[in-house]
Amino acid sequence: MNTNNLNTEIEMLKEESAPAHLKARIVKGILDDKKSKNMITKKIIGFGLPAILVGAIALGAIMTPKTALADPIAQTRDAFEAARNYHMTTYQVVEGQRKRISESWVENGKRTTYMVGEDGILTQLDDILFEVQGTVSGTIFELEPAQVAQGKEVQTELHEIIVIGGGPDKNAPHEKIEITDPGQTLVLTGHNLIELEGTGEHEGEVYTIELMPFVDAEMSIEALQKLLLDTDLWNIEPNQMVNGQLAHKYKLKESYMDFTVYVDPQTKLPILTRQTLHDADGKNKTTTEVEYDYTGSVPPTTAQKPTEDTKK
Amino acid sequence: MEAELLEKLKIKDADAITNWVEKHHNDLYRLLRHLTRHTETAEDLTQQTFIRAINAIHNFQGRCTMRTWLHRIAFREYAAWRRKNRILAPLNPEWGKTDPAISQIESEEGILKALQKLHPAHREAFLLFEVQELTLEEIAEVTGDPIGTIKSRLHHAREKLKRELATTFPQVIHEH
Repeated sequence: MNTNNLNTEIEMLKEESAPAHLKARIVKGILDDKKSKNMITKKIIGFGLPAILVGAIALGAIMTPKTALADPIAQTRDAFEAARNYHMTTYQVVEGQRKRISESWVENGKRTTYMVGEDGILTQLDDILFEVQGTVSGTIFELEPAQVAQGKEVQTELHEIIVIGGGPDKNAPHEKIEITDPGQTLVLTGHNLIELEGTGEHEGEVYTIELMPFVDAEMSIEALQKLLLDTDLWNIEPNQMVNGQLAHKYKLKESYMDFTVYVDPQTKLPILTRQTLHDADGKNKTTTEVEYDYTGSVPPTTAQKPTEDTKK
Repeated sequence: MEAELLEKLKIKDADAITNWVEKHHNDLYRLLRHLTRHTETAEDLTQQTFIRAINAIHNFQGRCTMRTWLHRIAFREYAAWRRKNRILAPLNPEWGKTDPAISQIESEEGILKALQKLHPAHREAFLLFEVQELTLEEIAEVTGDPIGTIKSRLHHAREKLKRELATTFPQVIHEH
C-alpha cells in the first residue's frame, strides 16, 4: 500500500453523502423547534440498546434506589463505591493447580498486602505501587507531568520527551531517554514508577500521550473499572461460567500478555482476573489468578510485621 | 455574503436556514458518519449540531469560518455521544454482538474497516484533515488539541492505515 493507493481510498471516503431526507429533517427541526422528543427517543434506539434495557431505564425512574438494579447509572455508582473496599486473594496457577501466594485487603482505596508463607502464615508487605498514577481517562494519559507504572507501553504523541526513571526510591539514578521519532513506541521497564516530562520546544505545554492499557491481575478495582468502561479495549463474551458463577468475560484485545476479567452481571464488579505471561519463546507461561470478595472481610490481626526479606 | 447570511440566521429566516443547511449538512454528516460509524446516530448528531448552532448563532463572532465553527460544534456533539456510549456499552451484555453499528461495520470493506482499527484520536485527526480537508489550525480549533499533537496523530494514522490496508486487504494492492 503506497501513498497513492491510500489517497484513492480517501477519495472514496469523501464520496459519503447525507441521505436525501436529512436536509428537510434538519430544516423542519429548526423551524418547528420540535427537536427534543423526537431526538431523545431516536437516540436511545439508535444506540442499539435492547428493548429490555430501554424499559429498565424507564422503570428505574419509578423504583427505589435499592431495588433499581436495572438503572445502569446507579449500578455503576454503587460499583465504584464497592471498588474501594474489598478483599483479594492471589493464586499462582501451575499445571492447573492453584497455589495461594498472597492476600490483600483494600479499605477506602488503601491496600494492605500479606504474603502467604509455606506454613500458611501471612506476613504483611510494605505498600506496593501497582497503580497507574496521575490522571487517567480511558487510555488517554494527561502528561502534566504524569507518572506511569513499570511495563507500560508508552506510544508517544510528542516529538521530544525525556523519560526520567525514578520510583519510590528517590535516590535511584535517573535514566534519560530522548524520543526523537514522533509516534515511537517505548516500553518502560526497570523502574517501579517513571516520571515523564516534556522538554525542549514543547516545554510548558500540556501534552497528551497514549498508552497501551497497563494491566496487572492485582491492579485495583478502581483502575480496572476505568479500563472496562473503554469497550474498544475488550472482546466481550456475555454469560460465561467461571468458578461456578455466571459472569461476563472481558478479554483484553491488545496487551503484552493474555488478560481476562470476569465481571458479575448484576453488580458489574470484577469477580476474577486471570493473566498469563509467556516467555520470549512462547513455550513457558505463568498464570496468575485473583479472586475478589466484597462481603466485608477484614484483615487478620495476627499477621507478622514486615521483615527486611519481605520488603519490596 | 457570510455576514448577510448570519444576520438572516439570527432572525431564523426560513430561506437562509434552508441554504445554510444545504451548504453544510452533507459535510457534517460525512464527518459524523465516519466518526460514529452509524447512520442513524450520524443523522441525529448532524441535526443536533445545526440546532445547537442556530441557538448559539448570536455567539458566532467570525473569528473562524462558519464551516470550522460548525465542525467544532459537531465534534463536541460527537465527543459527548462517545462519552455517553462508553458508559452505557459495557452494561449491555450483548454489546459487540447485536449493536447494529458493529454489524454494519463488519459488512463494510476497505478503508472503513481499517479506520475502525485506529485509535479514536488518530481517526478523528485523519478524518478532519484528509476527508474534511480542514487545515491543521482549523483542526486545532475544532478539537482543542495542539498542532504538534495533531501532526503526530496524522502521521500515526496514515502509517497504521497503510499497514492495515496492506495486510488486511492485500487485494487493494493488486487493484492499483
